[in-house]
Amino acid sequence: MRDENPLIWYHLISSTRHRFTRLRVVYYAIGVVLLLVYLTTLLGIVNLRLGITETLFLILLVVCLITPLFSYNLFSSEYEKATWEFLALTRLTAKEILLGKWGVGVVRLAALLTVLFPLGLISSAQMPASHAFMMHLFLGMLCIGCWGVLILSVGLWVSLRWRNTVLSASILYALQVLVLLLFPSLVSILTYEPGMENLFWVMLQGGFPDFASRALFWLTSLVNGQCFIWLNPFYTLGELGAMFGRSDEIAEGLIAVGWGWVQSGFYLLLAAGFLWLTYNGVKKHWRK
Amino acid sequence: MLDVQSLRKEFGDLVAVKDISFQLAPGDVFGFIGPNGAGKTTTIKMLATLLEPTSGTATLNGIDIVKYPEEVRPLLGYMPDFFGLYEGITVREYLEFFAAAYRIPKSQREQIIDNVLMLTDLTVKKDAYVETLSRGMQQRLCLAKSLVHDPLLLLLDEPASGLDPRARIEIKELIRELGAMGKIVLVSSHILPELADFCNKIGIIEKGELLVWGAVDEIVKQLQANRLIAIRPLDEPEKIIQRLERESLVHGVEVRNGSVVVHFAGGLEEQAELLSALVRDGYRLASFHEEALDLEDVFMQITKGEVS
Repeated sequence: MRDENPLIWYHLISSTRHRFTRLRVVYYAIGVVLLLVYLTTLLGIVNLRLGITETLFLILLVVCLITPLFSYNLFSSEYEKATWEFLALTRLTAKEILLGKWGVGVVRLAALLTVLFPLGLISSAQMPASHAFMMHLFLGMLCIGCWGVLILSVGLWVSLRWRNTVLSASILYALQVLVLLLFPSLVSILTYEPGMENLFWVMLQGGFPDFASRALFWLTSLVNGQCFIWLNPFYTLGELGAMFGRSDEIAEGLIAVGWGWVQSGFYLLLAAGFLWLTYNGVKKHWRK
Repeated sequence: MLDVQSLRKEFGDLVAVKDISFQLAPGDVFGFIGPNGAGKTTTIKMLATLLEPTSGTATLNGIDIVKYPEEVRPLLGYMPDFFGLYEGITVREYLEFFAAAYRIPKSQREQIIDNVLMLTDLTVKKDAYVETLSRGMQQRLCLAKSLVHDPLLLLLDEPASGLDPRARIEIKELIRELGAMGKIVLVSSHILPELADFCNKIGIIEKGELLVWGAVDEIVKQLQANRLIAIRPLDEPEKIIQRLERESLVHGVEVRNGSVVVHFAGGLEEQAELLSALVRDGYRLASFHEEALDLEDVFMQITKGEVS
């Protein structure tokens, strides 16, 4: 009985069914267009012999564009449609409300990643046998998935905090532009020194005999601002290519510092932080 | 039993509700009257546990609504003046959603929903999508949702606003029925005739202050120091006015819409004697009756038309 969460049922099935029923022709048309785009991309990957890294970039771009749509209105629509008071007065706890809404986003994200996964699989099949393509694909998809979960959690919090759907969507996209493009560019410009070797690769060449040296690697990135670049999922995916595609000191260094795993963990940690903020917001404002 | 004690709400310097207190028992239909901005909605939101009072408290069946909002919520049904509905689901699905959210066991849901649909006259609309319902039907659905978990206290904020005359009458009938079912119903409105028909108790709020509250009859009695007797003479009113002014219990006479209205300090016996005397003296009267104060008169006497 306690496991029943009507919010998941409503958001996942009813509202979707309703939209489909009302705009059947539009949805069929969108479906056909998306299918054609998908098949064209699939053919493009085969014909252009795109590698895993490039395909993962493509998948990440799609996730960055689509995932905000899964969470930008989960709370703001409750305020805009004046339904939040009804929900607050029910016996659903703050945790159930939060999990109901967040869970819907996670299910949608999982569905999106499942649809996109074959693209990565096709590109993996074209890699040389020496390349650990399955591990590369898995770690890449994990990184993308965790980034998606972070966007969902931020979206949930933003939509509760600002209570406005348009503003929430704008903030989510603006934040991504800031974090994925502007901050890394700014850090690159500010830390650029002509004639200097790539700082990242220099740091990786030192060797990492113990846990302390690995921790120091990541802590240093906080001090010199490199974290803004290293935690960027596009950069992470790019260096995953180096990690699985080479067999030198840099690749060994990347494996040693847990490249890809650390970023994924960090995204999840940050996502948990935003979930906690949202939970507290619901508890405080809805007196749950 | 709802026991409201010194409930107060401040928004910065603005005191929206000033230490209001009242008590209601099961079966009471309480009309919460006041001009727009008087503090009705703020009070209702505090009672609905959606807004934390600055001070004071209220208990419902002995449970403190400020300290234990989660325990009180299953006992109350709330219908705000402005509300939305989850779109894309049918009336029945909407009620099932809230039945699940209120933890009503699956085995009982169908029966409860059928009963609520019948009570609110929505059975014929059970398969209609909620967004296709008229405003009046949506009000009914909102009320049905508020009844799904069989609450003791119903808080209805302007339930008839925006409804056509027929829907207003239907909602009034429904509220009367809920009172008869033993629920405590608190209905706010600024339209007095709306409440006059079905409330047994009223409270008048202005500038956040509860000016008066109690049984409608008692309040009317308190305010009506003199009886008002309307006499419709067939002849010139001046003659009867001169005659009436000689009576010691008559404290004033005025002409209103062709009737002579007498401010009379006596009781029913004296009233009967006055009628007999007038007839004996040869005055031809088309009618002679006591005029009772209605809610509008009460409201106008008590309030000054100020908002907080």
